[in-house]
Amino acid sequence: MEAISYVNIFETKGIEYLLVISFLLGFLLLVRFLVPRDGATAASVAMEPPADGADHPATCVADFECPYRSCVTEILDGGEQAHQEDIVA
Amino acid sequence: MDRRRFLTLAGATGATVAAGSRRARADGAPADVEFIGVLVDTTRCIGCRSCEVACGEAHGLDVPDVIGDGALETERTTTTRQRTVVNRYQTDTGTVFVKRQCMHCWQPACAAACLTNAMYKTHEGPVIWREPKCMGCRYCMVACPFEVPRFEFGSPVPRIEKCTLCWDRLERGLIPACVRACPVDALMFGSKRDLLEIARVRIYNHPEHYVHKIYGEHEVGGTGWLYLSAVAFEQIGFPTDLGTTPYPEFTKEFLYSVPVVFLVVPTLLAGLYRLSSDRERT
Amino acid sequence: MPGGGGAPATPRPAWFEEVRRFVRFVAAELKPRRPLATPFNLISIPVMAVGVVLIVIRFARGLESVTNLTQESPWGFWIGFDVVTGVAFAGGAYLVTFAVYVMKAERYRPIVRATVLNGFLAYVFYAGALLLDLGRPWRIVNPIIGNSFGYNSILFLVAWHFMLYMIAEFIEFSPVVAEWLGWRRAQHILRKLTLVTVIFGVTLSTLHQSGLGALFLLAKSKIHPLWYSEFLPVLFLVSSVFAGLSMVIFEGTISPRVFRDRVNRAHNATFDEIVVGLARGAAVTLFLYLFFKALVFVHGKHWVYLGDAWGWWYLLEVVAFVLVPCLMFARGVRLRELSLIRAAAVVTLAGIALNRLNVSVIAFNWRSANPYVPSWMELVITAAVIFAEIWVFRWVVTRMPVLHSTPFRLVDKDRQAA
Repeated sequence: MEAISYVNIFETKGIEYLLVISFLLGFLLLVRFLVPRDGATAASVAMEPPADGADHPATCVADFECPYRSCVTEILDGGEQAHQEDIVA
Repeated sequence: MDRRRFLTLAGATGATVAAGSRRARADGAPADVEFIGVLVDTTRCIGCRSCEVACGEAHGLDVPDVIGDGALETERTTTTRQRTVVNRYQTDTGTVFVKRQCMHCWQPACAAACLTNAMYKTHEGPVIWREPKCMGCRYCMVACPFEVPRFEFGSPVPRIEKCTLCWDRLERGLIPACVRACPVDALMFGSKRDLLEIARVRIYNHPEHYVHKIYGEHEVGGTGWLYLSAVAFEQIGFPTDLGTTPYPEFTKEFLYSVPVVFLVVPTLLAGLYRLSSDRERT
Repeated sequence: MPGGGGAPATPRPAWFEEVRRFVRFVAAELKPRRPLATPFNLISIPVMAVGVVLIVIRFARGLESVTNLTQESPWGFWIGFDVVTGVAFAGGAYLVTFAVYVMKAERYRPIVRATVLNGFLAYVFYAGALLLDLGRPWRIVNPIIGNSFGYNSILFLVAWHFMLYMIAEFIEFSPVVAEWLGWRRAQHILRKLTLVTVIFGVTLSTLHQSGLGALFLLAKSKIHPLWYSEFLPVLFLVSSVFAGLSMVIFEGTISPRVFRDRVNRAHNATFDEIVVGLARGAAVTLFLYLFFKALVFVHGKHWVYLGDAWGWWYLLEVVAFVLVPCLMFARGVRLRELSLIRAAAVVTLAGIALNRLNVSVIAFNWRSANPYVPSWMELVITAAVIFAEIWVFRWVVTRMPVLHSTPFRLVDKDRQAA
């Protein structure tokens, strides 16, 4: 190699280990901040599809929400096209 | 080293290359072929630019008007029309002329970068550009620490231009055009082993005449073009902060980790999937 | 039926009728469903038209005619933004599919289809943008067909992964296409492939997201020391996580009606949960990324570089575009404030673009006397590519069951009712 005088390549290791420890502590605190112990997330409740089929119409509304083949045909046959306007309209 | 011995050396090397490349192609075992290169002694160069003229003529590129174009006034780099340039520097010891071109590194960054093997390090040493493979991605330009490859941005079918150590001439047993054209033996063509010895001998015999360093001996792992100088190399336009690690080494760890990732990650994910399934059931 | 004399009517084979019905169906699907004169269309159509003209010029006259690329700056905006940043933005696909299919986080199922579609289209269009940047695009088959395998090159790896990942994304999305076409059996088969494809896709993503960073390892002498590090692959991988999450959040919240209502009809009030969940992931990975940056900073003793304009630019990038959005996300999650989360996503996306442009273009060859600035033509072509992608996305989303992911139970129930 070209070096003529001493270069300590592990010079910064001390600070790096300190950084790692502070990261682990900070990470712990961050996770506790983001997920409160009393985690009443609505997710587990909302994952069930509507228990009764009453909300869901027996026939499809002319809206592209329904992925059924019958609904697609309905739109093609000149069914009402009530689409909502949005930014990508 | 007198002229006769130099020509013998160069001729022998050239013949070896020609024979070597044929031999390499024939039996695919080039293990006994050694790298060739060029030694540039900037203390001998007189700035006549015959090398630029010879290079242009040999490859159908621009042939500069060395008398009238005043190109030495500015510091130039190679272009898509000129594979080599001579620059003039005013230094403590006076005027120095330096010929610049592709360095033909022993472990070239450009060849490591090229995803189609268009940039190719031949077994004999020269790094060449193989047109049929190139797709013009310009990663070689990003990688080269000497900023050598030049790209024809103005062409719909662009080429990469750079010095090829006259590979086509070498294959026919001739020496590079610039070396042949130099009238003052500033350029010496031969095997890396011989050139390094010659350079060291020169420094040893004239220690006050040269800086005690051969540029290209260790830079980026060593280059095919070696330089001797009377002044510090920063003063004559050479980058001196490139380090001694060959550039392909920087990507080696990542590339070696690819098979590991392909083995570990799917296994890990499959394991996580199993764990999630179990959690769901309970 | 054509009347009059002629050959007696021969019964057509069933497959012929099927093909004819299919063709009619597709032709009908190609018709626009909404009025053409919307603000978005009025902007995007002229841009795309100009883009096409510029692309023709680019191929006729070479890259110089439309770009400001030079020998010192061989890679510019198309590589720096379209490819290097765009691929990070598309990272949502591998994360969300990982969450839903590997970790069984059902919460995110409603957005899986849209995210995969986005990821697939992003990769296709960014590969297209890459083709524009190549000097000889027809040669792109070279690293694929086998006569030019540059194993030594990280770009070879990235190129192959791009291609394989596009295929994986398409397979992941294909059940939606099959459902749209009514090909039940194909849909069933393709669904079975999903898990394996997702695992494959995550593996590929790990490698090519970090691979994009590894590309710049070779440019050691040219990238400003504050942006160069041997850990570039890791930094790029981690940043692809919060880039992908932020893009999913951003896209999900810019069209609240498009996403929210469709999602909420199936799964009430989970839209907020999805966004908060994604934001949690973003906050955590931003935090991780900050510490990586700190490690790199300390390891390279980068404090010596903070004295000049580059040092300030670096601090701006890290503080305003990494630390600040991390705090914004954390606060937004804690308070469940969707607008704050959306703002954090925007800042994060800007930060990703800034960082990647810095590494690949701005801080690349930073000593050069002629810094590169993209030409207006490069920007227009980029905009045209993005608009084209949005058009295709819109076409697919308005016709295929993307935004509404149907649980199997509901399908059966309605078949009985109908």
